[in-house]
Amino acid sequence: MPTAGGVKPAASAGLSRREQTTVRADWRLVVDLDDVLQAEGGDPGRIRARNSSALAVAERALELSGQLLHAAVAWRFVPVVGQRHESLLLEQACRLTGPVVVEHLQAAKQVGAFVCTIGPELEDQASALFAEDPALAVALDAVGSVALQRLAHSVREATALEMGRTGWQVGVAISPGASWGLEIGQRQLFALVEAGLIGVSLNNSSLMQPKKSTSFVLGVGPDMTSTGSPCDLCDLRENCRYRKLYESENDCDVVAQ
Amino acid sequence: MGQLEELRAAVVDGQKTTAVAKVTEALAAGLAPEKILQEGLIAAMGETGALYQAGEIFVPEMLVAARAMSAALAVLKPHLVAEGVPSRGKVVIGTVQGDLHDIGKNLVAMFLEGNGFEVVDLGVDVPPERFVAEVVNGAKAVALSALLTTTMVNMCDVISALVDANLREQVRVLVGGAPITTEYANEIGADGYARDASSAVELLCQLLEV
Repeated sequence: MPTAGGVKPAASAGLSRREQTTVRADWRLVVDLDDVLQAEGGDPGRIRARNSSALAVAERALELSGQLLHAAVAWRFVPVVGQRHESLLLEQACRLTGPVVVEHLQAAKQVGAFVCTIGPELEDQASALFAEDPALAVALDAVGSVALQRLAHSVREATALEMGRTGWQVGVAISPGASWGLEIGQRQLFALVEAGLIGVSLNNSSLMQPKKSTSFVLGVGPDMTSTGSPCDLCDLRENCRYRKLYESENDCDVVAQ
Repeated sequence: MGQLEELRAAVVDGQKTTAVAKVTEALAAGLAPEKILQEGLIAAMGETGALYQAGEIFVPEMLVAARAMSAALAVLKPHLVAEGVPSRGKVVIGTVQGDLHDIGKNLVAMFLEGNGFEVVDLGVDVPPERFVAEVVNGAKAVALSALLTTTMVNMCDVISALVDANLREQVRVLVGGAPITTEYANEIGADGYARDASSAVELLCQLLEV
């Protein structure tokens, strides 16, 4: 889990980004049928009531996904050393810039930078399946979206739990592209954590590859406010089909193997 | 229940095997391919779209209907070509430059094809000049997809390229994708915004008056 153990001591100043990045790949993701139907924009109760053939498709997608989900997380905590204008200054001459970052991280003692992925296999299979079976392809894509969301949620929850043991709080997750500029946010976040260790890279448009990847920063410290949702910071919140699913998550369906 | 009615029901219910069988039966019975297309498949997709718009069915159910339609269309297509049945118009579709997301774009392409349009799918990360080239080759509409706020701005480049090539007046431009809104479509000079595959078909039919 992302823990205080992931926070390298001051003596780590001479270590490379790679050496300071922690990786965990032993995740087991649990996604259920209703999650898939909901992520596809369906009402699970009504679809079940009709015994629609969409149910069998979602079940098949879940079966397939068992071999295709390869979740991994890379993260690093970096102490905050100050603030200047719209920049949060971090150790080792790193910085995060933008009004959203400064507003939500100014009380942080440290910032955790996280990159999560479920790997490339599921999305490759979904794309390959599209011509033959578009319904299955979209259902499989939905499984991947839910799994990734659960993984990120689990990371945040586990971090909060761990930090809580020392009396620290965890702030809202801030992702590049959701009110924090995508290009600058990804560049700064990927400068902190060596995402290549889990096979994640950025293309020229600052999109992560594999596509089923997500990145965010979490502020931690004794004075952080832990209320709020990442959706509160997202420009797409009004139209997002995943928001309801995300905000209704009360517990974690991602468990360690 | 007549053959075409059974075909429509099979498509709406997402029964792929039955839909293929019904098209085969209808062809064997001597029904004109165009009649099977119009009164069978296009009518079924229209019914599916209406049920979706009314909130009676959901995306996963629309997808299984589209899957059935697609399989049935594959059987019918050679007969349509052999008889020289014209399409409702040629549409070029693609995810704009810089964006790699394809699922939503693929769905729209499938729905357009199922509704009688000739679709040229350019894939993902498509530069503006490739859209322009297809308009030169006779496309009546351009459908642009983007999933991200950072890539949706590249839709403007396609429209600008069409203007620069003096082609903008002869083509309709549709835009869609998670961050897109009607306001954004208006702002960049597109002809319309479609929130989903079913709406894209409806909008295109309106814009092309077919």
